[in-house]
Amino acid sequence: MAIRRVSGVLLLAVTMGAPVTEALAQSSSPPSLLSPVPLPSISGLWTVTVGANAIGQPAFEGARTTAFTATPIFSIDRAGGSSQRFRSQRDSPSIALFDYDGFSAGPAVKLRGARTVSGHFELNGLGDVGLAVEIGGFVQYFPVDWFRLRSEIRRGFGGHDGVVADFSADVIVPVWQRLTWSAGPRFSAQSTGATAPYYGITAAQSLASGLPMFDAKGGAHSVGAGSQLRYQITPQWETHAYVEYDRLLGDAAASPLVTQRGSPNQVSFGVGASYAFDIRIP
Amino acid sequence: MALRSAFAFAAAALALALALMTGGCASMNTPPAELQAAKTIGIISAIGDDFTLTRAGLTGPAETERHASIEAWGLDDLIGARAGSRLGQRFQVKPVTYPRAPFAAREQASAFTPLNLRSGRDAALKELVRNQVLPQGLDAYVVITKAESAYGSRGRKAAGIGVIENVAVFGSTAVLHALYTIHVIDGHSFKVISKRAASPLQNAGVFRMAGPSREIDAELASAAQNPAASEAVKAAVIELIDRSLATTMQDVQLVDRSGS
Repeated sequence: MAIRRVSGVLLLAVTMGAPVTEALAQSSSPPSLLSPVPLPSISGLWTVTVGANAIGQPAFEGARTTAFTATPIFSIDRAGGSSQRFRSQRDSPSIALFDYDGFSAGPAVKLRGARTVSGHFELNGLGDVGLAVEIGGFVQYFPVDWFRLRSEIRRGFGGHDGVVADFSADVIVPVWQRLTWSAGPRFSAQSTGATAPYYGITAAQSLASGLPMFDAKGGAHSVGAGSQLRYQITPQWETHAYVEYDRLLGDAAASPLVTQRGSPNQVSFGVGASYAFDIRIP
Repeated sequence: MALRSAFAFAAAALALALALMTGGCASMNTPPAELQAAKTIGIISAIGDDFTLTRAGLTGPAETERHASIEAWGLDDLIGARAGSRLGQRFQVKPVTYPRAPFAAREQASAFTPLNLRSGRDAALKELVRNQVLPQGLDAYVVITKAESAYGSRGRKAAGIGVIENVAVFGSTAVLHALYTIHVIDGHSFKVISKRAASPLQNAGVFRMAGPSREIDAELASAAQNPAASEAVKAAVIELIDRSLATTMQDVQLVDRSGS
């Protein structure tokens, strides 16, 4: 979420090179396949959005306790146009490289936070798991404006080196002009490489933690549901709230970390507000 | 600590963005040399032939765009006159003749989105100006064509002039739009000197598009089902264009901020 929000800054920084590329684009000869791609000019009306989210989520994967945090909302986008597009809290930051008649696909990146023993007695003896960067792609399809199917497949680097596949469906209901409610089922599957670092217990970890050894394998990882509400108070002010529930499955649910010190019921929720204002660049 | 870092990063990003914007402004205020030297100019407007009626929100799977002809409004002549009166303070505005249909054709975007960064529309317009507009030899041609904006949850595209009805469980709302782009094309080299899609208006309402638009009441939305017969719809479209034309001409540096 936060990454997607700040990506606008990176886009803006990239498009600062526009005067150079525009000059290239103004060549009288038609563009060839080898000529530089002309980037759009940054001139015009931009909308800056700032805000914050308050989030509650499992303290670590499989935890029964909830950790609370806050994240900033920040984006810079061309004014108008994209604000009505549906995004789910589960969506990884992504770019649609293919977009046709409701079907889109492209690369997606997600950060899976580090797990640190510090502050969590349940994890004593299990050791830290580093930050994982998951890189892959997404496909999504809107058969109608109010229903979306989406899937992401990502491979981890860093904290894990497995493969994660997420599947979701959302019904998007404009309740009235300013209030939109969406909800739908979720399913996730993971390979052994993506499951073992978080749910497996090695012999050394077993000795140190007092939990039995456990060889966590991949497979079905979780099933659940999610819902969000968005309310546009004014053209500038927007508020939103969401809740996501997952029931761990397979070896994730069977791990002694979950059965003895955690819970297979994983709930995330959040509320947020943002304020948008326009900046005109001559 | 992570929280503090995230907010610090966001604040730094905001500061960087504003600094880049401010820095960018200073270097972009000078009109291109081709425009500074231009004396004669022709205006080509091709947005006023078609009115699109679309729906978003709770709609059926077979929902398609409907079209109605509004050629009888004479909107392109009016836009040409309004633009000409503003440009007349700085340029000699010469009458031009052109076939409207090829200029009014909607750009077909590629499904492979990176290809859309390489605008085929610019090349097409240059060729149209070179081959279809008379007289040739003016210093610059101002070409006003349809622009696009995404709407709805799935980001479908609307173009030009029309109405989008947002269907909700409790009531619907409608947005009137007049989406257009101004290209300024050198009349001798046929380079695109500058181009800009008209920006959204202030106070456009909750559902703002990426161009001139505003929410309209149920009566006007109903009248828009048969736009050619409605003076009220025509007046509302003209108002959108009037409110945005001066700013857009400033954006393409045809007129300066004082309006001359």
